[in-house]
Amino acid sequence: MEVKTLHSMTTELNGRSVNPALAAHLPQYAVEVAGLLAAARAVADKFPTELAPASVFVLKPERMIRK
Amino acid sequence: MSLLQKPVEQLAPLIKTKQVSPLELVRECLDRIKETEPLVNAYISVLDESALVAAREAEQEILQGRYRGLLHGIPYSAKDLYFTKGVRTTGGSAILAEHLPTENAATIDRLAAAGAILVGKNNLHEFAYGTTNENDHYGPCHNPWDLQRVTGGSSGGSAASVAAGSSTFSLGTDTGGSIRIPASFCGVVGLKPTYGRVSKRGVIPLSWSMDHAGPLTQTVWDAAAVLATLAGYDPGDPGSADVPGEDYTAGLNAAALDVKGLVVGICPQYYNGLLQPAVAQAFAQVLAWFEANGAVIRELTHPTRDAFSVGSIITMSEAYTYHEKNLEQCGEKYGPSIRYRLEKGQYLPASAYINALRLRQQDRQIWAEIYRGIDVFLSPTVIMPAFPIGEQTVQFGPDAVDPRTNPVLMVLTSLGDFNGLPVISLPCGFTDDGLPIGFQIQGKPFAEAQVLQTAYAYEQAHPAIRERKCGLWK
Repeated sequence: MEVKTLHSMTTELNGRSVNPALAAHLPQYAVEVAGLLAAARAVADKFPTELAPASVFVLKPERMIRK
Repeated sequence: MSLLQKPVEQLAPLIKTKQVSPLELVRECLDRIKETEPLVNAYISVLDESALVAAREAEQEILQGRYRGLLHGIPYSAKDLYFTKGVRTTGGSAILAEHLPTENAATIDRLAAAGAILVGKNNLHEFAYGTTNENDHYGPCHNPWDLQRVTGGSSGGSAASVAAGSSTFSLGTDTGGSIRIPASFCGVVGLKPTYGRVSKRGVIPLSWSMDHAGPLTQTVWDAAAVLATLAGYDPGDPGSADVPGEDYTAGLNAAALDVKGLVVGICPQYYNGLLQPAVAQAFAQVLAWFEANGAVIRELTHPTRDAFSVGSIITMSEAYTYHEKNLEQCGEKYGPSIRYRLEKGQYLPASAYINALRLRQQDRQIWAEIYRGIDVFLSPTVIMPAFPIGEQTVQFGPDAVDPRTNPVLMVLTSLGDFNGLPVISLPCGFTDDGLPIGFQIQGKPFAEAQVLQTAYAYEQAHPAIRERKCGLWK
């Protein structure tokens, strides 16, 4: 992942500005985020297609699949 | 012996029978805060005046025969993430340094209704986003067992105040281990209930779907007593589960001491090669005790450890979303390591977040299957004991990592926030240097009663561990 990609994400996608502190961290973010996203993709590749996301909030115990 | 060395279990009957006055107890607690704070720094705000007013009211009520129950007249503290009406709630940040909430958190109201007396707001890792409790704005919290060492976090002030005797119990929050890590480092009990069991209304969020509220206490019995007051449905919290609470102390009796036939799951793949020797030794002794007393140890293979890494995408995304506006408008007010971690969340696409939630669903299915064959699940709480404040790196397997930016301390606790299951951490031993070591017991959804009973059985069989106090009592 390239630093300029993250820079564009901040300004164009997120509507934020790149301050000096953030700019200084972008090279490290590029490494860490790439690794994290690769891990997420690797996990997702093994999911059955029908696997739905967990609800953000669990309102009923049954939703936690108690057996 | 100071009254503050007594747990709620012993104090409550003394208050009920008028042998101890709430006013006397709260005064002693405030004195203890004055005595220990220069050393420990467990508090951001101390509420002398309001605590004394509440103590006088409690005393009058009890004298007039209107005893409310186990927590009536008991002094406690709360992590400074819980809203307190008219009392500043900083979140451990500079941004909210003068923030005066207009309402109490639901849990603060519940404890007030039970007659518990809030004596102060505890130090924490800024906005609960860190595990060392080295706070850039209010100073580091010092571990009462060794003042040069961290308390763990983010509920470090809560754990330290209970260990130091400057509160009888405290409220913390747990998103990746923030109740259990400091409980382990400070030698106290920390309970993270099932997701939705305890209302989070009025608690500053870190990650809405991963945050849990719960108590830190001196003993397992006290954790049960406090949970009984905190638990219950709150329609004002979208994450609250419509499940009634219980009297969790009722099951802590002679029958609970028998673990014969209990099926205990362990998963060494989670921690093999990671544990410091003293932790490995202490946890081996825990397993040996359960086995010697008739429990069945069943070794499991969880098919994925991805909950630790991929699961963090949920917290990073949600935390960034909550803080986005402040990061843009006053980012310089955050501590450097918090700002670094928060900003990273903006680079995670929605598909990554959704896939993390899909993994969470799969993980719940796996745990449901696992719990068909076991009753409880055990592991060490943290892979190491407390390390010195300011330590640049700690060992994480073959790597030396910065504990401020690397989630090394959460490697065994974050799983419980990801799956939402109830977990308790309790002391199980000490290093040669006298630093506490903890282990954790996880149970089925909303099975806090069984988790507490199992913890109680272990604790009652190990009085030397339970009764050992930190050096600040000498």
